[in-house]
Amino acid sequence: MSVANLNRSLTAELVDAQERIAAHARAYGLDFYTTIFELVDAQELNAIAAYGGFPTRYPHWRFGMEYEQLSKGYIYGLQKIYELVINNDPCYAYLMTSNDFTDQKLVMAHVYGHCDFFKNNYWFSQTNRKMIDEMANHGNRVRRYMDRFGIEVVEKFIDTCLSVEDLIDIHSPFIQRYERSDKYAFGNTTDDTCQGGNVPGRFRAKQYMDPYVNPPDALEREASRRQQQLAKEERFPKEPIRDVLQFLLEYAPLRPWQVDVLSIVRDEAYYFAPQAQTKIMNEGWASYWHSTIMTRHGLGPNDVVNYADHNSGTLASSPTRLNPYKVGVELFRDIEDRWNRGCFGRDYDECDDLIAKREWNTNAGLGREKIFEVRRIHNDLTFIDEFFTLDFCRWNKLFKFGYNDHTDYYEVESREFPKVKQQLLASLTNRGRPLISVRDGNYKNRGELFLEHDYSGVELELGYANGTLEHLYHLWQRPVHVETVLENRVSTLTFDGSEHSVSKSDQMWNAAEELEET
Amino acid sequence: MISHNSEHDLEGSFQVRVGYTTVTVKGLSRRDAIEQARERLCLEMPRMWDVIQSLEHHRFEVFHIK
Repeated sequence: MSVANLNRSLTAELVDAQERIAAHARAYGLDFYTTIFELVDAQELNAIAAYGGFPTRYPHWRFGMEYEQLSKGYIYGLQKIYELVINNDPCYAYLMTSNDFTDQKLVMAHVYGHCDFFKNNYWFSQTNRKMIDEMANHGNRVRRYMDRFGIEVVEKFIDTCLSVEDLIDIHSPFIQRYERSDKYAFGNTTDDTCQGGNVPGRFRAKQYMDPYVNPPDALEREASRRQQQLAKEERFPKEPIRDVLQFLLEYAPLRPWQVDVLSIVRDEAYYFAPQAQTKIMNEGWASYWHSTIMTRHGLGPNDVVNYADHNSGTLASSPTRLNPYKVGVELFRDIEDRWNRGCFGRDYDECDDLIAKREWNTNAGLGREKIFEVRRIHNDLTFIDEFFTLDFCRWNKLFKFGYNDHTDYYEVESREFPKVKQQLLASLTNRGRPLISVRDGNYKNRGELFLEHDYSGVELELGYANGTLEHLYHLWQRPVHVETVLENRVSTLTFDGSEHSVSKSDQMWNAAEELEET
Repeated sequence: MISHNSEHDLEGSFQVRVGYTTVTVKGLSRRDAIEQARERLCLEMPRMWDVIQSLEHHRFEVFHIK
């Protein structure tokens, strides 16, 4: 797998097409960083895709494995990558040399949609726009460690880090969850918090006024509040931490090079997180723009059949898989149509007449403005939550399917709108990964790590959970536990360095209570 | 009292053609017919909404048919 001799520039014909498509995209209001297209052959494109789009990334065996998968898929005619685009300033996009001219135009229009999304969507606002350089830097650092400590040792450690790379807090770039503790704020080192008989919260008062100024029940309340606060402060960490990687970086007994490698894995996980959070929107937006630009400006008479064939292949729905391209583009078109006709707001929502609703048209003409607003502020979860309507679900014939034990077959479980929407939202929450946080870094005062799984109806896959615990043990060097729910009972999975154990408590998980709490 | 409904008298049918598409609408005048046609085409082809809205008047060919 070699990606050394890239940088093949476009042919004159493609440069001309690029300029025309970029001009159309700008005329529609798309706003993107300078976009550099490079022509690569199938082998090179598979290699770059295996590296997640970054040919200068650190070396690791899994990239080779992914390359083998991709290239076999291509050789057997099972899959083909048309393009690849990198969120960077400037944006880099790779085109396959074997694409025909129609495909290249389609792909360019699609790429400009992605570039606009990268630049303007809020969830990408905190990503590093010089990631190509940063990835090269990561690659150099890892290679240096490999030279010094050996390839096997470093690769093994990277394996360990990658097994926990999902345990990040995807919202942390946007909010400050915890008060950062000051390293140099040395507090009281003794346990005597109320010296000299001073009762906390008591005001100075003459003896005859004391029962009024300091009522005994208020003093009691204040004392218990302070007690709770103290207990909270003594906890480590003070509040559950969702960014498990950050916690490990700060407190795990790692050597300096290991800290550096773990921080590399964490940085890259944060860089890729918004792409997983906005898959449906990002692909929908790019497909919306390639279809708009191509059907209105880009297609010549000789392009139409090829375009229709490949476009329908990309947007094809499958009974067993949700196609993000299809759902995304249809939702954007639905939003545009609804806002053009004024199908929003109180009057529309409260209208009970189905015929009036179907023929509703106030000529509001706000569709284009609205879809630009949506691409600026939403991610997949909020996008589906807000715009996935009953009508949309019905028109697109969406359903929920599952495995039927009796018939030994996968079948349609429900076409009910709330169930379909709920399943979609559940699969998008936290990018479909379990929500795990660190609850105690000094469990039972034995320095053990205690994690909790925020259970919401889907159990952890035990094989993965146990594997992850083993890797966490490798990082933490002490027994690790995770509290979760198995067969509706609160349970704790443990790995103590030699064997796994499961302890199930009598406490039952109650979905209704959980919902009330949230 | 003799009343005179001028609106009713004036309303006629128009065939409006734009590009390869033709629609028949009722309207008070040619200009009104174009607006009606624009609205109808927007509903029929929601994906061309912005294009249809931005078409200039001279792009529409209007024929009075009744």
